[in-house]
Amino acid sequence: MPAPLPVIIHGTDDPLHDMQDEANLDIQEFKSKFTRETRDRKDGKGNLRRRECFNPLVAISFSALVVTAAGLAVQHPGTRVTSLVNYATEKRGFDPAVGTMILDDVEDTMSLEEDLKTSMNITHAPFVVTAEEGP
Amino acid sequence: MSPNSETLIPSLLSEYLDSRRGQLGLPSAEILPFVVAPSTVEQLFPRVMFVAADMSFPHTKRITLSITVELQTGAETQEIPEENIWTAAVRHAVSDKASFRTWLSALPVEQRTGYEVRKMWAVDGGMAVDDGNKIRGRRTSVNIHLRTDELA
Repeated sequence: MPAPLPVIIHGTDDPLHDMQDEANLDIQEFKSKFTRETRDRKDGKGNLRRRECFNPLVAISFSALVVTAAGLAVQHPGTRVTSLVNYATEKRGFDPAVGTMILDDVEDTMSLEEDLKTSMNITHAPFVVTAEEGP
Repeated sequence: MSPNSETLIPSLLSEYLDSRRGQLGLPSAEILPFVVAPSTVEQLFPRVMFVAADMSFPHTKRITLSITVELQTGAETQEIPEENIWTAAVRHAVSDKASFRTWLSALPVEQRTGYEVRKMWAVDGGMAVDDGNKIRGRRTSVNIHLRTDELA
């Protein structure tokens, strides 16, 4: 069969609400969890009197149908993710251009019903300034 | 009526099956017509109906069509010795993804759809008698998973 016809698009994406496909992946769900660790100080009666929030991270997870075996669709866990279409600009004070995004766990699922499906977790660490170095 | 995906894909499936009549031992269209719903063809039995029973969209560029392919005979009036052979032939053909894709790829450009058939599998089947309409049906449900940019 011929290649799918190119779509003619009128209007623009709504960056707040519209999920976009990553290269080689048809994205079905995309989540970003913005976190910090906390360290609490309590007084002698056990009451919280001070909370320190540190180590900001973004935990990204998404699931997708694989279109072609390239790029993120075949990337090795532990390696650096250079860019994500769905996290291309600053969100909640996190800038994807600062620090490093690291590919964590990846799970590929084959089924009768659908194409190869992949789900992966990515950690964005703003203070990791050099990727893939040893200790 | 110009086709959309829920009539076009069942129609292609019926044409594919039609192309394999001789190979699978199925009789001619005069004896066993293939009917794609919705159709104005009057109720003649036996026949094979192709109906898109359900559509789902797991992604904006993807469609999963659940197509019911049913060999129907008049429950009270027809005793067809070849019914089991025809049922098996239909099931074999609609389970044969490789042959369906080969047949599709050989179509002339103007008959192609722009859809890309990614998956095709027979999900389940069964036999049922519809007392009201006096039809005995030998059903096979086929799911076809398509990808297209036309829905983006």
